[in-house]
Amino acid sequence: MNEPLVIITIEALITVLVVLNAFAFATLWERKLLGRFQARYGPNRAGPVGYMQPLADLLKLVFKEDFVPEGANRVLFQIAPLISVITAVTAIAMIPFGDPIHVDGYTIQLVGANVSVGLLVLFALSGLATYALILGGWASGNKYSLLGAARSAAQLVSYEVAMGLSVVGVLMISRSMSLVDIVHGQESSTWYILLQPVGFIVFLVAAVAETNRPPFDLPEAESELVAGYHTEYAGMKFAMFQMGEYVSMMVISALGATLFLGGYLGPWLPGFVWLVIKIVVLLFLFIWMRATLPRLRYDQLMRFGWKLLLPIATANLVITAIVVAVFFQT
Amino acid sequence: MSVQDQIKGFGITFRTMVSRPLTLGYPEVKTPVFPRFRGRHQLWRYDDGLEKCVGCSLCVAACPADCIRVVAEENTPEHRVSAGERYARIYEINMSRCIFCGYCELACPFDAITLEHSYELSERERDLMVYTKDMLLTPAPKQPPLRTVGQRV
Amino acid sequence: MGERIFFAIAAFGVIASAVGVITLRNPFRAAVALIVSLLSVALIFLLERAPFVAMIQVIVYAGAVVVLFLFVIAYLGDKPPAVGPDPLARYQVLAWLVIIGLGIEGFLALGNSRLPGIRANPFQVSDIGSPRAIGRAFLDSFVAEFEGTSLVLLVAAIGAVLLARRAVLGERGR
Repeated sequence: MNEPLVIITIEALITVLVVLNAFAFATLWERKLLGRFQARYGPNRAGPVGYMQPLADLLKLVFKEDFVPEGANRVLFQIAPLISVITAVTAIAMIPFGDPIHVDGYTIQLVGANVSVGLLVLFALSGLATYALILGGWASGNKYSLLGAARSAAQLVSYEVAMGLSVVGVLMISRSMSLVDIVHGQESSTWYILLQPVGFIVFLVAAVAETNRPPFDLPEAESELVAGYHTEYAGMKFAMFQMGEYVSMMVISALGATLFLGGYLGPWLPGFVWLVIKIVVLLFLFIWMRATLPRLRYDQLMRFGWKLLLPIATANLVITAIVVAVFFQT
Repeated sequence: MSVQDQIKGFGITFRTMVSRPLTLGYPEVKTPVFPRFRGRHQLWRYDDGLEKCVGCSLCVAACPADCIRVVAEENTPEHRVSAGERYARIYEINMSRCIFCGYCELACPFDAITLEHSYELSERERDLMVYTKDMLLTPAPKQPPLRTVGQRV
Repeated sequence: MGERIFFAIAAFGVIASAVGVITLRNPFRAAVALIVSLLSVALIFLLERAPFVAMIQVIVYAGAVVVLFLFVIAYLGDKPPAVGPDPLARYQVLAWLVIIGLGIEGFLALGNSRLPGIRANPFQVSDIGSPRAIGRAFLDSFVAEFEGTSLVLLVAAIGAVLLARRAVLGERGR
């Protein structure tokens, strides 16, 4: 990265601002879409189409009392939502948004950091996000939170494995872990979803589980464990947990779009727009699953992850390896 | 839950998404009511202006929630209010106790009190929930629309 | 210059958090210190041009192993155990001797070694950090060790399943 520091700072600022706004409107879009799935309108009172609803929610949360429960561990209690947001927003740096643009003699990369192991960095960050759950659940000093946190951590660790395996097929085809190289690989051949359909489906299911979204949302299910690991969080800390969840949803959608749907490739619209369209499609799938599927019980969830998803991912890996080794050996 | 069932589920939600929502845009659109809907009470007069209510207190006896208060008074030739011998000097219904069962309407032999269609009866103060005779004599300002047979909403 | 700053941060982080792991009384805080230590080690790996190993360190160690540590600590509670006088207090002298001996040995070893990275002008040996090089190492040069390690892990996994099954069957029988 040979760009001057100013450009990097501006890029980072723009990215963070866009992502935070996207989070706000993603919450609104989810509520409206869920409403449509349920034969009702979503929020439509605050502003014409309800577009002021996120602002109203933000104001409400800001004015709530910012407390730390009595039996809680002060430092860890406050750090946990931070970890959630930091890991989610940092992951955006790995996603390529387009080919480099040339302006004024400068070459501006449209990716935060083109690391040679960009894919692994994303997995590492999502692995670190489990700490937000565990520390938050334990530091609340509340049995229900602790249970929710422990279950959630086990779930995340389990589905991380399946997600990693589902992606190795793509790695074998593209022969690089850098996301920029993977997009370029899809430029020269086809979108990898056509070459790795099973991988895509496993990735999608594992992604839903990784972000604690329904039907895998037992750790934060309102009716089961009060609210699981974020029971004791109110006001802005709760908002930060929500931010972490939605931003990580968007990051995983972006990752899925980059790995399987061609990233920023597409005819006659700028690359960034295509990537956003694909992210929106994947987010629609997330919300559709929330509206349709009943929640999995914890043992069903673990059984599904280990006994169904992992063998499928492994089989996909083996078959892909054989095909690549036999037919595409260079 | 088999895969076919799940796919059918996704179809149902998708079809619901693309069809019109069932939501009624209250308060801009009011929920329509059937003709025999029991809403706010109303006291009636004859065409010549005399009140139908004679203060017989049959509605008081019939009310299960005991929320009607009637004090009768003799009709004098100078001051004739109702069409019979007596009239109701005080007629109050406590709307916060009324259960809108319609027994008072059934009990009244003169069709003096009926339950009409107005259902927007909220007040900010409890004292305003006790309706006096003058309030009950005048019809409610806005009546909700009538529901027709087979109407969707 | 930037590398030196990062190295200073990473090295300090490793040592300070490692000290924290063994001195903090609250086990949860010790586990958090362990996380910081592992992340600092990952940073050092990055400085040594081994990004793959750095990320694997974070994913496996900091992302899964310490999570399991935290499970155990969470279920066992975080009150430090009530200990009486240390039963090994008499052997403190031996412990100090061992520490000093190891320290001297370490300095001697690092000072006299021919490791390329310790010279005044360290040079990169070859491409040893990339996934391609690691893959080749696993499958070409060190395939026996690789398979042996996976066999050990398989045995451990089977053992865990058997132990859990015995516990579950024992509960059901009751």
